[in-house]
Amino acid sequence: METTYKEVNGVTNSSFSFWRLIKKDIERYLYFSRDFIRERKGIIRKISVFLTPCLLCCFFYRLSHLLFRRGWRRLAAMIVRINFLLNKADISPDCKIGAGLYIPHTVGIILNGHAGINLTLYAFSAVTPLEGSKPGHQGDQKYRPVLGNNVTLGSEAMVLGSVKVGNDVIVGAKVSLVKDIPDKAKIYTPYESTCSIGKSEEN
Amino acid sequence: MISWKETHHRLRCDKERLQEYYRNSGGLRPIWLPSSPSYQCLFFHRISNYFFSNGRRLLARLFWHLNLIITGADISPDSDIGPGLLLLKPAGSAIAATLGKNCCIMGHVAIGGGMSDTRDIGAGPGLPLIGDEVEISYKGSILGPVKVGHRAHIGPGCLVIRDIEDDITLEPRVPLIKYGDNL
Repeated sequence: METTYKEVNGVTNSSFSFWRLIKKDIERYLYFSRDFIRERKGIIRKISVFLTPCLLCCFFYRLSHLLFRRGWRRLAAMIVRINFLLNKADISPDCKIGAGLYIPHTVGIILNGHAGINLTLYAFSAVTPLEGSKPGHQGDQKYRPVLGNNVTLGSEAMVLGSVKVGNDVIVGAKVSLVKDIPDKAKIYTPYESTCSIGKSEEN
Repeated sequence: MISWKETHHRLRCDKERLQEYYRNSGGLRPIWLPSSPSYQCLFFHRISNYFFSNGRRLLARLFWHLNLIITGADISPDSDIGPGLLLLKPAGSAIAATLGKNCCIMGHVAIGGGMSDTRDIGAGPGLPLIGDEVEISYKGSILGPVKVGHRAHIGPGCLVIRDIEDDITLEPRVPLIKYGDNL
């Protein structure tokens, strides 16, 4: 059962043009960073928005995906390498992601699955098929996770294997998700309390 | 003391393992294998390990820095890794331990010393000793002087701070899920 992007969302990524996707990404970035662009709108401040790793990473991914769709596989692979060298974000060119991708901290992002619009990935989050050295796991590269619209992944959260995640889902920090999730769910880690070591001897 | 012949043999084993992985997985293959970061990080580590064990510390440090800049993997030069390692996503993984042959590491792992315990069990002060054919999934971490047995499988997000016997599978805890409209 190979799940595709079209089954979940009904719209494919190619329904938008390249520049429109980029425009949506910039709009989403400005929405999240509206607190610190209010002060003075100088020309340097306007240009510096486009040089943040958050937007550069999105731009390189969109470009590589465009080239991959047109059949330029080698050039797409080269742009993925540039993205990896500059931002240390490993985003596969053949995965389909809707408009409004927002990645505030790009280091260590692994993104190898399909997703709808308004995806948010915080630091070190991973969306991948469950690869492995064992023979049963090795064919799993084509069974990718499929995320719905408005999904947020917290820091160090991961979605592994052929998993379907519904719309409006929040995956909390440090959660490892390996099963299907319906719409409008909120997922936490099972750890509830913290403990401190070292202060008990003084009291 | 690791000879150049041994280093070359280990690198060839790594290359064969990576080629086998790309052949069996149905995903995108790299056009040229040395351009993939999972080969580059092992190449730099093997060379820096060779220089470190032969007393050339400055050259070892140079290749370690190159590895940090190009692939983002922090594999310390004195860690002795057996032939046939498979490191899928090198960015953000830190390794300082003794590993056996044919291990598989997926990515974002932290393998090294803990905070305070500095006992030496064969890998160095406070560093873990890992057996053959161990598979460590995404974000698994092994900290402190710990012995991990052969063919163990450490699941995604698992933390190991005690000894593990052979043929043991660790799985992550089931997360808490809440449903509703007002979230």
